[in-house]
Amino acid sequence: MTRPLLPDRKVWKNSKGVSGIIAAIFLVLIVFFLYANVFTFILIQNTSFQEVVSEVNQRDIDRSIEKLTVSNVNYTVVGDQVRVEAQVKNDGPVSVQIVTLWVIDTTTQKYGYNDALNINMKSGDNLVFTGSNALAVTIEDSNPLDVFTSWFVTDRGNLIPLEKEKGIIVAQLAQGIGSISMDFKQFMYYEFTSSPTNGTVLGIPKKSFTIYSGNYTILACLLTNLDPSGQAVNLTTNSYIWAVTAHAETVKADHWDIAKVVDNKYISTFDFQVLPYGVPTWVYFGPWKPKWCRGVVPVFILLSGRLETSDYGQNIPFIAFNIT
Amino acid sequence: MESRLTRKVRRLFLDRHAVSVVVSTLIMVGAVIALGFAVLSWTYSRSSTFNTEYANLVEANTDKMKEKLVFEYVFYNASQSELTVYLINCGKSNDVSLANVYLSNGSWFQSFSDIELRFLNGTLTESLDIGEEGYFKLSVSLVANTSYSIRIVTGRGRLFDTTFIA
Repeated sequence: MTRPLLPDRKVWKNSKGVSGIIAAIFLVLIVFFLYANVFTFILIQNTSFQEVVSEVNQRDIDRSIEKLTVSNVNYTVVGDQVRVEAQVKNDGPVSVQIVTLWVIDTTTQKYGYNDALNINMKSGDNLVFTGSNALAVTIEDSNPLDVFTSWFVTDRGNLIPLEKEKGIIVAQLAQGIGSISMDFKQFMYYEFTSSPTNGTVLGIPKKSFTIYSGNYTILACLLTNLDPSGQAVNLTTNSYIWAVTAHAETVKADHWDIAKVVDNKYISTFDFQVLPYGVPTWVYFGPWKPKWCRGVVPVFILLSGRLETSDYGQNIPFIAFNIT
Repeated sequence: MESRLTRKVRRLFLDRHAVSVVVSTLIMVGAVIALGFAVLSWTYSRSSTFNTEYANLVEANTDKMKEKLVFEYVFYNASQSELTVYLINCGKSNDVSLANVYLSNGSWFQSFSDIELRFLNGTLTESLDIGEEGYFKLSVSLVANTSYSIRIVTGRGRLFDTTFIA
């Protein structure tokens, strides 16, 4: 006797429990729907979140391995434009987009930027910005004698400083003749018909080695602390410039005491002057009207203070004045 | 005289054999189907709401994570007691706005909420898109040669810090 494959017809005719079956079907539908709609959606969202995490990590890695080497940096001033000459090489494994160049005139505390660069450099590219290709930044009242610092901004947010190289010769020189060097070409002075008082504006400097004995002068020297230890030098009131007459039977000397100048204004009280390591800093002396010296005289800077916790003293024989 | 048809109809209504079983089955099936669709609809509605909220949350978090502001330059003008902060949006999120700025040193703290963000050309803007640069100014008196910390809170709640010497 064979058994029928399908259940007896009575089963199909019996309507008892139909609602339960329908409810079960709905339950299965709801569970399936929840799984398909919510669970799958959450999985997709989590996947996209992980992709973003990977993307952000990759961007941070790219940012950290960006490497631009800037050398042969030079600044020239034409009118209100500071022209930056430099050689830039992409030494990193990723391409770099330079978007902005910032230039700070540390002498006048003014700044400017050029945000229209958009220079793309592939790995290994070498670009030279000289002459007519120099990068220009507008800074009002800039002077060729001013001290500048600058840096590039890349589209990944890296700031690449443009630094003038300090060779080992400079360090050895600092060890040989003293930690503080003076930029000979930057020497200048301010002239006053009467003795300047507290708050007197210095005005426009003169770049000359001839001084008129009938006027008061404030001398300005650009000094750089190159002490190999990298520590700051703190100059005290015992620092001054002095000049001595060469052809005289007795010593005839004039001296300009160290002075404070803030925002191009003379401050009559001097407390101290810090020379941070490696930062060219203007140091002022005076005011003084030469009493004794006439003609061409040798001039010395005597610096006294502290190198961190130790005493520091240095004499720099730097220029010759012609006092008329 | 009642017609034959009328009698048949009356008998049909008066004959109650098995009527209750059919009716109850129909009612039960109808109720289950109606309830089933109602629950399904409610589930769909709730899951859609949940999906939307979850998607918004994930999007907000990813946008927040992709935000990156870098301080290009911080300049303090002592004579005008004005701090200028230059920024670049170097992240991958557009519409990066500034909600708050906090300025502090070891013993002092000040917050700023109404930040006027501007593009480098001076145009006022609500936010910075990808690659855009801008700045804002704060009127504040700072002590010269003192180190300060500046913290920016973006509209999405991301924090960016730097230090500078006034």
